[in-house]
Amino acid sequence: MLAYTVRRVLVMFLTLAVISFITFVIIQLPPGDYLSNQIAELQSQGDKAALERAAFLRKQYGLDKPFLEQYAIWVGIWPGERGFSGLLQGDWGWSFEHDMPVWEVVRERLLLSFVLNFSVIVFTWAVAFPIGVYAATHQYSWGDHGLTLIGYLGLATPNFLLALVLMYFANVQFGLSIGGLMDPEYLDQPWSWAKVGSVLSHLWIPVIVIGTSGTAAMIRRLRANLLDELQKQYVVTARAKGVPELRLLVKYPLRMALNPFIADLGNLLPSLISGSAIVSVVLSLQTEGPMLLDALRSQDQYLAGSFLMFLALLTVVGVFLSDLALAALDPRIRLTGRAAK
Amino acid sequence: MRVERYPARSLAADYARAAAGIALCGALLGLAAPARAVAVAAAAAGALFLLYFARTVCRQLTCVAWDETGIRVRGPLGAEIRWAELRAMRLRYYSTRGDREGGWMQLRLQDSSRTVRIDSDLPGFADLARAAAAAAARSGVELDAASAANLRALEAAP
Repeated sequence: MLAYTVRRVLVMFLTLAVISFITFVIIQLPPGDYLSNQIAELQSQGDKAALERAAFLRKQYGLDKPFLEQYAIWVGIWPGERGFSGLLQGDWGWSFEHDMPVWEVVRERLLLSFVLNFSVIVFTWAVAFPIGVYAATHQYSWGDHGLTLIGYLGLATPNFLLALVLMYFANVQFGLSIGGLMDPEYLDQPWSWAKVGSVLSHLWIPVIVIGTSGTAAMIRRLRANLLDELQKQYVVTARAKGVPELRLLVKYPLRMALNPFIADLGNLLPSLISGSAIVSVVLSLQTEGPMLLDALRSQDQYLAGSFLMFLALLTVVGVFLSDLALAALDPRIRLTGRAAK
Repeated sequence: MRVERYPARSLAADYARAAAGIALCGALLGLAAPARAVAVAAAAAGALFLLYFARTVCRQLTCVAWDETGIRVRGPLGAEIRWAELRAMRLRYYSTRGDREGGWMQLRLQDSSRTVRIDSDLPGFADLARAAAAAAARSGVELDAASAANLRALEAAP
């Protein structure tokens, strides 16, 4: 495992370096930048103090420097006006649109994003796992057909449409406010039990909306994987030897059927922070997704770039952890008949 | 008796990986004054690469010999296991690629007190795995599903 871990860590470093460069290239691709647009606007209004501040920020963040130097300063591998001060040093830059450090902007929404997306993941697994196992072990039964139909409905329903329907239903039936993760009076208020209660009462709508398609997809995949395993010879042999059905199911086929999901764990980490941006916009959720969309629209380059890099880091670390788990759980060669080097 | 050493080419690749990792982590810690979380991660990765470097040195000094009686590993982590005393055998396959090709195997043999680990870089690895598998079958050592599948892929199943 040591050799495997070392090689994966090297691959991870390389991947992060490439992603950081691509991210920076992409956020620099549109002509101009947020500050250029602001300066042009301020010049037309003759606001001298704001112009000086914009010029200061431009110098501070090296926006007047060559592209590669800007990139190196942003990452933190090259000294800028304030010495080494980039992502590696924990300085995510300045959000020009929000006029505050990027980390402050992200931190404000981090908790709600985490609570929402974690709830979605728990919902998805809690619903899909028993249904998927039931559908596979009762193949072609009425239950299997019924659950398959519900699964297809879940896959086929657009999330934004379900969001609108549920918002209307929750407002009419339960008197919940339209959109958002809490009642409007708790916005910008410090955390209290009443605010927590308000969040919990609103949480089920986005959880169902975001989780439905993922749940349906997971049911289909788990059912297919488990059916594949249940038809293998070792299961037939174990059954012939009299191994009890439940023990037979749990000991090998279920574990093997879960391997693709362990491989997918890598995508869970970033989705914990930034899942379903479009649904969040429709539901007016105060999460990271809409913030990222706004940052990309307004060319708030440090907010967009640093947050994308944060998501990339979570993805790469998540994939690394899931690869380690897979290597430990299932260290088999896939190519039968071919020798290792 | 067959005697083998790890080839220079595979050792050079391992040294290059260890050196690249140590240099990267060292440069990050020494030159860029990173944030605490980044520094901790870089230090942990650096320690891992140092361990890997030490392991590569051990591999360079290692000589593996086997015959019909058992396997002897001479070097810093040397051990000797007689086939008749084999208690456990594991054959693992690792690959860093998405399609799981281009990987390598590791054979782990155990008697009551000692453990020997051999990588598939060693010339004659398939023959060694075959001999170990035959010994395991004679001793009634049960192989897990992954080891059995890997042995079949290596065409070394008894």
